[in-house]
Amino acid sequence: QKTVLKAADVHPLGYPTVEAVVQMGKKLEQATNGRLSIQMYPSMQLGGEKEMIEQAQVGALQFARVSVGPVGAVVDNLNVFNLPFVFRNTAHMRAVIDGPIGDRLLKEITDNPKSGLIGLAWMDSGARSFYNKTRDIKSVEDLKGLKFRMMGNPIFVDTANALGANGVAMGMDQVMNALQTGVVDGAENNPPSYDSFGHVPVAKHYSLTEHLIIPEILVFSRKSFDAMSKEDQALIMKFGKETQLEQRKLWDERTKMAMDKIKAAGVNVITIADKKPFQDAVKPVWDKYGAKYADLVKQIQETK
Amino acid sequence: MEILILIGGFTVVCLLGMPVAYALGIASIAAALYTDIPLEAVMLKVAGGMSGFSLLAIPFFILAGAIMALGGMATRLVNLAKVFVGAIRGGLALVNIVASTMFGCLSGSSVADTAAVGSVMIPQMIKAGYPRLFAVNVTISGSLQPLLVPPSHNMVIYSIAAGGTVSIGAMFMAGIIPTLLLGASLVILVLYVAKRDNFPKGEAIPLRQAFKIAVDAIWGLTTVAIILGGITSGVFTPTESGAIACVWAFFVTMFVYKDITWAELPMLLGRVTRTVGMVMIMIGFSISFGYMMAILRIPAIATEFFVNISHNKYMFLLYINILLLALGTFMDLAPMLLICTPIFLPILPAFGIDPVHFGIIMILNLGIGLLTPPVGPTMVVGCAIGRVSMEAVAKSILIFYIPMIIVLMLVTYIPELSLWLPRTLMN
Amino acid sequence: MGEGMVSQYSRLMDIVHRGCLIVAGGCLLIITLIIPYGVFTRYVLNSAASWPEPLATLLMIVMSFISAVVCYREYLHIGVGVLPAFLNEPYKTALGWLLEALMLLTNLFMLWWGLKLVATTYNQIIPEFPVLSVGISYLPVPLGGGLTILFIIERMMKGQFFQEADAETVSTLTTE
Ligand code: NA
Ligand code: NA
Repeated sequence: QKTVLKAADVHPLGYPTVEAVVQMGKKLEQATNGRLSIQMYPSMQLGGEKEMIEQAQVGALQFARVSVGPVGAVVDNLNVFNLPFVFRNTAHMRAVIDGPIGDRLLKEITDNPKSGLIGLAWMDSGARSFYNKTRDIKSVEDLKGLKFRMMGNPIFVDTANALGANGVAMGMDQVMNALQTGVVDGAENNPPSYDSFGHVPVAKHYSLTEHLIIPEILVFSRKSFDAMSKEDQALIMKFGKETQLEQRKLWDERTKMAMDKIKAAGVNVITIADKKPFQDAVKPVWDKYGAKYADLVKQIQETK
Repeated sequence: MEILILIGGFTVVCLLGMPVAYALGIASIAAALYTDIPLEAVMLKVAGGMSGFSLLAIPFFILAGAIMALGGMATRLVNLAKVFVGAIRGGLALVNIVASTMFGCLSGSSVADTAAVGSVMIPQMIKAGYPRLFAVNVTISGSLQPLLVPPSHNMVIYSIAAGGTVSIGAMFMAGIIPTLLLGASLVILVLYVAKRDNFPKGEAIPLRQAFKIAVDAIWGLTTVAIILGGITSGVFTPTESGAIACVWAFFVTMFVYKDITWAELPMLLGRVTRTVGMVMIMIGFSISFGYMMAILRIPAIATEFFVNISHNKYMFLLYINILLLALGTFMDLAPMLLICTPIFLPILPAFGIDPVHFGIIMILNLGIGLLTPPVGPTMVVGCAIGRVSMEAVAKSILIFYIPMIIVLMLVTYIPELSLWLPRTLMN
Repeated sequence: MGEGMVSQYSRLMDIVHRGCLIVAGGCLLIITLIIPYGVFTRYVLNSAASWPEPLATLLMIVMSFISAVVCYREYLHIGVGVLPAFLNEPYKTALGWLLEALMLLTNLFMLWWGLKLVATTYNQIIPEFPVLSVGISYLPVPLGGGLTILFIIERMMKGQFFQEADAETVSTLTTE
């Protein structure tokens, strides 16, 4: 009896998160002599993240690679990652998700009866930084008065505002047009997305503020999981955990490639030596959204 | 086998006479049952498929068109068209076409255009001595134009069917030159027939009166400006433009033209919800159908098939055009867009075809299908208004297909006709 | 089945029909007002309200399913409909029964699996619109299915299968 497990992602084939799950499928196939395999449906073929989660909940699909946002609606602690500058840098974020805090949060997804999901692994989606078409951002003052497209969650818009800029929430599909018509002066994203959305020629000032470092999650359908044998369950959990480090390698390669391309396109990439003024500026956002995660934040900050 | 259940099942129940929406539904359900996909996922897609924000543009565009049609917008535009082309031989026929070009910018619907322009123009043409069949044919042929300009909700449907990867604004821009080409080609045909059959000439309108007519029509044209201007400047999303156009059109019709009364409002809402119900339930089920197609990897299989049979872009486009024309005789525009777009779209990159260009080809091609028997809603409405039989129209309309096919070929093989405007204006 | 019972049921269905129209029309009116209000808050009040968009989307789904029910009763749904024209009695009536049976089946699936979907996603919250759960947003599916079943039963009772839609209604509808 052969079982084909379905996996979905909003990104296209070849994207690090997609590639990692495809490779995991090959390992699974090898380990079970072809009894278990993964069919990947990339590029939103089965719908957006919200629908992917619901399909996993009803058991129509098994693996879903999703952002913190839609799962955070059920498991609130995940939202701690949405706080600006919650991690010192990418290495800090990796230490946290590889350690007990990462495991605990995945377990919270698994144990929450409302989620209908099993938390398998964390996936890297880099650090988001500001880019704009007007000027180099070297200090907080440089952000003043610029309009930036932010993701829909109010916390992100507030972050931009706290930094002295104006945050404008809009869908990703509208950003290009908004940049061209001047509805926004810039946006923020990780290097691969900045490059692949074609914003590089329009907005040529990129400053590595790394204000948001939000890892993504690979989840598995609880309904499908419960229907599997103990051995298969263990296999899924094991390979799931392994994919966390494998995806990271793919992500680093991708980021390096994008960064080379961005620099070749004549973008002045600015490294921020001292992020302290930025971190201080977002204090109001922490006061407003961070209080209930105080314990968790303390543990994160103590992680070396 | 699963593919046969899905596609074959749909085709069979559809031909038996089941409504297209529910035929899509039961085929998806059957395929899901066969492949062990939980049926909740199918239901999830039916409702989830309707929940994109840009889909909201559909009721708004339909409502805006309905307000325009119910109020005296069509009559005013006919009057404006008379100012421009009324005095030429075959003038009233030209007025009919030009009125559709202008009214198209308000209704976005071929059927609404036929109903609105036809009910004003067909009686006038007959009275002036034009053959009844000719009047009907001109009316329905001219009604192809609204499909390609804002606020055509068919373009929204295409954009939805393309998974939101195609910008509605770009589609609106892309349709403008093909629409003008379509209008011009029909004008040439009418001028030729008018000369050949010695049709009557109209009267020239004095300048002072012409000015008054133009001012009167301007209020309506501002609605188009809201929609187009709002979208291209990025001030409004297409959906917001649609909603604001509704409020604006209602304001103008109610308080400036004073064409509708409060008492007519429930009737207007009733009409529009029915139309929206028909369209949206079809969209919902077609999304679940598309979901099952994606699960069964039909787009990938179709891609392989088409890449194998056609070795270049030109042959591929020709095959697609022939296929769509054939299917379009039996099927209406909206369901065809919903069913075919997800199949063809993934193939386009292999041939280097722009999805915006392809959308214009599909809508124009399938629009021609609205004017063919056995299933052709625009033709049916035209026949009803002109009180002629479908058979008579089917025979006499043949000559009108010539300019349409020529424009279709031009649009197919000269991508710049579609792409130049969006590229220039939006970049 | 008694003649009186059929007409009594039919009268009841008239009321349901009217109710559906009122609900659907009301939804349309509300969404046409709240989207411009959203624009107003963004440009005039300078703080974009986040609720008009998800609420309008939800109301549109309600409107769509409810008015699809109306369209069924009024024979408005788009179909190919070539075959019935070529058939004579009793084949035509047999086809009518077959098609209504298929409709009944489809709508029963919508009712039953729609309810199961509502139950499964009932605990999931819509992030932009926290007062509602995802499950509620799927309620129109079983609702539309259930109401259509009522009208299918009516049509089966009366045996009126291939009626033409009211010509006046059709000429004012603008699908294409
Ligand atoms: Na016309
Ligand atoms: Na046709």
